[in-house]
Amino acid sequence: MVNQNLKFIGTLCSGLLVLFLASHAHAAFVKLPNPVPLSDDSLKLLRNASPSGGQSWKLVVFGFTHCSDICPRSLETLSRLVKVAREKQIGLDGIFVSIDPHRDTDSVLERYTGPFGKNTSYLRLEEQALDRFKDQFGVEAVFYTKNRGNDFFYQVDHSTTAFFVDPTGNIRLVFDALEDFNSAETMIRENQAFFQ
Amino acid sequence: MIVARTAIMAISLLFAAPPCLAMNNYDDPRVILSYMDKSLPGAQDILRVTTVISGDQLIFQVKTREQLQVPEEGDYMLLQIWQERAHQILVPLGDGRADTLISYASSAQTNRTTHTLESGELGGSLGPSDFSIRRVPRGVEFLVPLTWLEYGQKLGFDAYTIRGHTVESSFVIDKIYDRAAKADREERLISPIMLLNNLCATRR
Repeated sequence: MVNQNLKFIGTLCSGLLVLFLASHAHAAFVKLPNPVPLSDDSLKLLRNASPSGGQSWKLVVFGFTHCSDICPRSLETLSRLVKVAREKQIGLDGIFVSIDPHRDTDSVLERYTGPFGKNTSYLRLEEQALDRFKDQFGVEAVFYTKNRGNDFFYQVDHSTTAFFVDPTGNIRLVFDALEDFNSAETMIRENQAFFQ
Repeated sequence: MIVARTAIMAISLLFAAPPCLAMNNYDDPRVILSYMDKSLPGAQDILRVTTVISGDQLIFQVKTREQLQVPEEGDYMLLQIWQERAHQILVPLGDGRADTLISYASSAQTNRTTHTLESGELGGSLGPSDFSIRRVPRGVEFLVPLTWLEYGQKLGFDAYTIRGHTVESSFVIDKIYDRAAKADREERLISPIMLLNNLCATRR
């Protein structure tokens, strides 16, 4: 009986550990020692979407407007960091990239990103162009229950990673938009040389 | 009694799982899970390989079922990383052994990018020297500098417990005790930025 109980506890702990490892891994704020260059096409798309044009830094997050909790928080982080950067005279634009262009039309995205300030905009791409762009950032999106009978009420899972892209099109910093606001803010306030 | 246990298990798992967890753990590029094999001594039985970022280093943590009590000469923990070519990092299995790390790299770029190691295989010539290791309870952490990652290449990794020996500047695998590898070989390779993306974000 004692052995059975020990086995049960062992199995329970193993299951919990696996779930813990897979889903609650520590967020990381990573300043890339080797910048990751984006393709010319991707840089052009970012520059076109950027409210200030080509020579600003870009802070990029991915999401979709039907996301009720995570994406608004990512966008809030993005918006607050853009404001901090502007205070420090750093040219930074926030760009929200829709991974769900089927529901996120231009007008929907405009309404969604508008309240987050004039230096925050959106990028809407479709099909292969979106896939190529996501690949550059290593972003995955998984659609649930999207099918012919249900092409509106579906869920999308995606990462909450935010990317700092320098004016020449290199990814320089990667962090979790939900967990690492303070680290990113400190970086902007105390390491302005990084953004020169 | 069984009903009560099942209920406890279900409730515990529900509390542990975050609301957004939807992808299969086996698809998670950060983790390789390996089935427990009780026919093996615990120290040779790999349970999982996990990846984390700490500072400027990518860490591959390989955990076994038990701590090795009596180290055997010739037994190693091996981490194989694919990036353009195969890189094998070996460390003697078990605490109390010297933390000597040997790294090998296949001498030429190979198209067999999804290859799993087999017994009798040569590890290639000596590889990069900027890897390091750290012993942890029931396992080893392999530390790889982030500067080593090449973003234009695909990346993959497997872990093994093996018996082997050096032959001049190469290494021969005599026996593979256990391996932790993704079941679908093609899916083992991902872009380094995708791995970083997964390591940086806690939610999906």
